[in-house]
Amino acid sequence: MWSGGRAGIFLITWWIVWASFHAWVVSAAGQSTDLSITEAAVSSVILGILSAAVSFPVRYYRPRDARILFLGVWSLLLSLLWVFAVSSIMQLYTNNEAYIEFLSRSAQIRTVIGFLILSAFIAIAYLVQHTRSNQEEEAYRLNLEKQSKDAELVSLRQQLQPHFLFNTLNSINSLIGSRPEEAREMTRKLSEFLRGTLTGVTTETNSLKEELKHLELYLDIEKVRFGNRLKTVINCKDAHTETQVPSLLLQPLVENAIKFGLYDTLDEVLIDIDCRSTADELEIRISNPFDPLTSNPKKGTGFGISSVKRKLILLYNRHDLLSTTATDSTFTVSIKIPLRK
Amino acid sequence: MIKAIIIDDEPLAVEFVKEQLRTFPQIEVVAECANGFEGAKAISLHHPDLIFLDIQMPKITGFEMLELLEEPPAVIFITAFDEFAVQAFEKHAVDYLLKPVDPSRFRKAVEKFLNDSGQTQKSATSEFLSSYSEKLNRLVVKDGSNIRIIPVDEILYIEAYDDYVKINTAKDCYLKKATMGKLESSLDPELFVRVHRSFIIRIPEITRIENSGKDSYLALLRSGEKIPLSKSGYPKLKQVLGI
Repeated sequence: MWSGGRAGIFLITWWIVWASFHAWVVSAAGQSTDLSITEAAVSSVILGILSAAVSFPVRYYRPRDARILFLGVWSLLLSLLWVFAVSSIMQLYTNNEAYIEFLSRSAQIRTVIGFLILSAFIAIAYLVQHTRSNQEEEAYRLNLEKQSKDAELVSLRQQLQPHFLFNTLNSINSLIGSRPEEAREMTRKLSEFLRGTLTGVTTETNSLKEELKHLELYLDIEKVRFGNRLKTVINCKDAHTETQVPSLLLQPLVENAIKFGLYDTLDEVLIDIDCRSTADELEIRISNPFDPLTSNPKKGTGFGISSVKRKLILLYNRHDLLSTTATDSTFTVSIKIPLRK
Repeated sequence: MIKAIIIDDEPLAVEFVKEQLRTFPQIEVVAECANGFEGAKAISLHHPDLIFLDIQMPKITGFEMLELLEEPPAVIFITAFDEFAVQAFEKHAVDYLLKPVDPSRFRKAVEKFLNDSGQTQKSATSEFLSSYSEKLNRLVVKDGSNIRIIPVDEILYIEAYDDYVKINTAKDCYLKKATMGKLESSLDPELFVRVHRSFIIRIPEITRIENSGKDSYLALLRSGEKIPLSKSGYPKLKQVLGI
């Protein structure tokens, strides 16, 4: 790609060469040095202005086929204008009859040369513009690709939950020595949980009952990891349980509540999961304790919450389905799932 | 008898370490702690020779706990997944174990400790602590026998104070054993600027820069304090403020 400066130097050099060539042709045709140089200067300046005029519009939009024809006609008209302007100016400058005769005799060849030069300028401007927009498009496409890869990686890592996985394996490792039966039980729960996660990734909805079962596996594992510190209450009446809900919607919220609760307080942590439904909505609330002195609940909304929010917007095209509230020591996330009639 | 303390918020992780240590009769576990607060207390009570320390724990991390100690003992870190910490451990040859912990690696780490009664681990740990800096959004300090967590946006400015730094907030000031350089590198450079060998200011606190004589400048804070700007601190501050 040319930078502005280098292109400018190239154009000026080209113009000087072109004007010298012009002067040489005119003087070779038998005109005086004075007239040759003046004509060369006048016609180069006017041609310069006209080529700028003809090539500028091309830089800002890409002409379609019909426009290319239009630009051809346009440069033909401009070259006629060029020949006319040069001969008018030169007739004001001199009344040398032999020269004026030479001017009118060479009108056709001048028009053709002007047309060729102006067309060449349009072609160059078009090519420059074409490459530039192609490069921009390529950069845009690459950027888009990278962004979607990044998002994929983040969601993959989130689903894998390396911290949870390695800590759970460590608990199993510890149980193998002292209580192998429990180790076996935990291995089963972890496998079932992972299987559920893998299935959930590929299915759109699941019944609330199945989702809660998946959640309970997760909570059971966390309870083994954290011992007596973690307590949970799930209050979802039987009536709701056949409702279809988006799969894996609750797990990130509960994970967030546990992390938030366990890492922000020293005492026992109670995670409360509560479902209720109205005629057209199912509402699920998840609450956890937090320490108002050391954490800012607004800041602490976490990755889990923002990803669930995004998912709800994508699925239902509504922005009001997830809300959070914080009282003195309890943080609550509430999600609403519109019921399909 | 060698005294050891295990600090991890997951009971089964503590149990595993305890069980593995049974094969080392010369090591006695004097305390088991479920978080950094208990850990810091137990360490100042028992003065252990060796601690087994988890990183992700309630309220304060294992690193934050170590920074509260006057003289950290030898440490074997045990962690599940901390890419950045592990890179730093490798760099300073600090002993660490990854969960799930492999018993033979565990034995190796303990035997290494026993070979020179912890000298290598002790110096590796302190070297690690003086250079490892996570970007902090809070500082943990000891306030008498209490442990305080100060969110960084409550800080007005920080002042050098012999071997300590003095952290000034609107309500109070706290001493923390740390160097200005270490603190500077672990605070967000968009929010904090070191304007002088002995001063770091939180940028939003600055209301005015005053000329106080030939080539010397002061920063006036919202709270009324005047902080001197050094020859290199003044241009640095101007650059951060974009003036």
